[in-house]
Amino acid sequence: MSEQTFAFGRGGNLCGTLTSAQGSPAGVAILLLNAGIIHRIGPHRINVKLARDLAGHGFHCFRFDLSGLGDSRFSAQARSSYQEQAIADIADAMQAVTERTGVSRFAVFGICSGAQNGLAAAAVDARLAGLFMVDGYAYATASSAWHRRWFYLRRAPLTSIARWLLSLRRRLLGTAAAAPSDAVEIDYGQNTPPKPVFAQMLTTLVGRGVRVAALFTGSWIERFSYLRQWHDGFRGETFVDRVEIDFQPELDHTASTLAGQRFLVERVRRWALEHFAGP
Amino acid sequence: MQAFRFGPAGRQLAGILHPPTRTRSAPASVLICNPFGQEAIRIHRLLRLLAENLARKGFATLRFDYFGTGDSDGDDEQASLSGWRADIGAAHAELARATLARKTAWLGVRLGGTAALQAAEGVAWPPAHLIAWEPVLDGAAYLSTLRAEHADYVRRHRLLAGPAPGAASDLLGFAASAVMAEEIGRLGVDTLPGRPPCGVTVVGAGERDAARWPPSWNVNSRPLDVELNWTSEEALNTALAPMAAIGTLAAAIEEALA
Repeated sequence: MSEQTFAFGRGGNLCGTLTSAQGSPAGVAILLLNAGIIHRIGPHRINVKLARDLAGHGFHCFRFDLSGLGDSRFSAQARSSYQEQAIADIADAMQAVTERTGVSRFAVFGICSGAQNGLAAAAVDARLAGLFMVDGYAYATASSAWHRRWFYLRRAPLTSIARWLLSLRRRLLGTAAAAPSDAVEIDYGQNTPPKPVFAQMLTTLVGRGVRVAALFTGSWIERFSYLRQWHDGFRGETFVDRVEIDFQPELDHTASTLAGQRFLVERVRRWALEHFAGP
Repeated sequence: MQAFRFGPAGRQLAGILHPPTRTRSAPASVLICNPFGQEAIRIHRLLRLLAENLARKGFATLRFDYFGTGDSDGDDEQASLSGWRADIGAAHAELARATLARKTAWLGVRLGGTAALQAAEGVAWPPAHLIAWEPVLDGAAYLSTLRAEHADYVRRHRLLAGPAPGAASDLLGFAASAVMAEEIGRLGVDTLPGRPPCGVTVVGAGERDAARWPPSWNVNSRPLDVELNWTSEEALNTALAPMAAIGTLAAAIEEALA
């Protein structure tokens, strides 16, 4: 396994590690993004594990830190918004990989903010041919809340029942706080775009032939609580059956067990080999 | 900040060198030794900020990942504490080669502090001083805590769990080989060298436990009024970088290298 760690970017301010493909390299290289503010190795080293597994199957992989995260600094030409900066950094990463490997098509893997940044980059950069999102944007449906309650009931029956009884008592006594009319859904700092905007992004991506996969874990249960939620929420959209959806409540947001990490690595490898194997 | 890899093929270590941004009359350097697993992830931000702070004071500072950890070569389960000690020696030599500093201090955090205490006597030119931040002095208790926290997290979140490769332990998402677990489990003050190889300052919780140190060590201590949850899994977006900790550590290092 050959790896190089180096500075790149227009100001030389970014830091990344390239894992070179073993054997004949695939025509698509894979970018592994920061999750939240965790540096480029990813939570529990998942980006390292993914990179080495995928490199063993012929993919050049590049894990790197966005401006200000991990071992990357902000450049003097910093963009005005976090997401604009992330898009520019991802473009710089693609340029750096192309200069070193000759590969000019890419797929991106991201957890949480990594999924968000990957989507934003894919929407504007035609070099991105694949997007694998873990706990990215999600949109509730009419039955999400019931599935969520069922999830909690199975996980912790006594606690769930006690909470419901308490809630019912408050309602009956009239002591429950009225929900504000402008109640905001829990967003985990994602700045979730309006559903039509998201749908338009997916329509454009899938129309362009980008291979999109979205996996939701148990940590995202407040946002995504059953496998059919995607299809129920986007019924009628042209992309709905062309996005691979996984719902894995036994995984968490940061792949906190070795078994969970193995599952995730195998899932991403299967996706990459299915869509991007070969020159 | 210079990113690079060093060491022999197959055992390359990832390093980040922070060159000094001002000149000192007597060039000096600092080597930072990471803690284990989740603790190393949680503390990454703080150690980068500390290294930048030290570079501004004129100290060349090297951060690096041991084999089988972080961005370095190797899988989790290939790491061992004896390997960590060898890697500290290799990083120490690399720092000397890159900076030509005449005096070096080591900062070891948690298990990295314990490994540094053991490694210091094995290097050709020992560091001038070693600052150990909450070093692990009871390895069995430390291992037991990590295992209990892992089991509790898996149970509370009903996570997919299973046997780790080989006879490794799953410690909050990081594999520790049977060798590594045994090495950690044996750690205690009685496994430290009979005499300190250099001056030693203990920062944080360990300093309150001065009675446990061998009398011959005569450690300096420096309190740190910051309570850190080293291993929390719960808050993805909350790294640990309290300025009080950075200030205390930087002052201890500057004093050691004065």
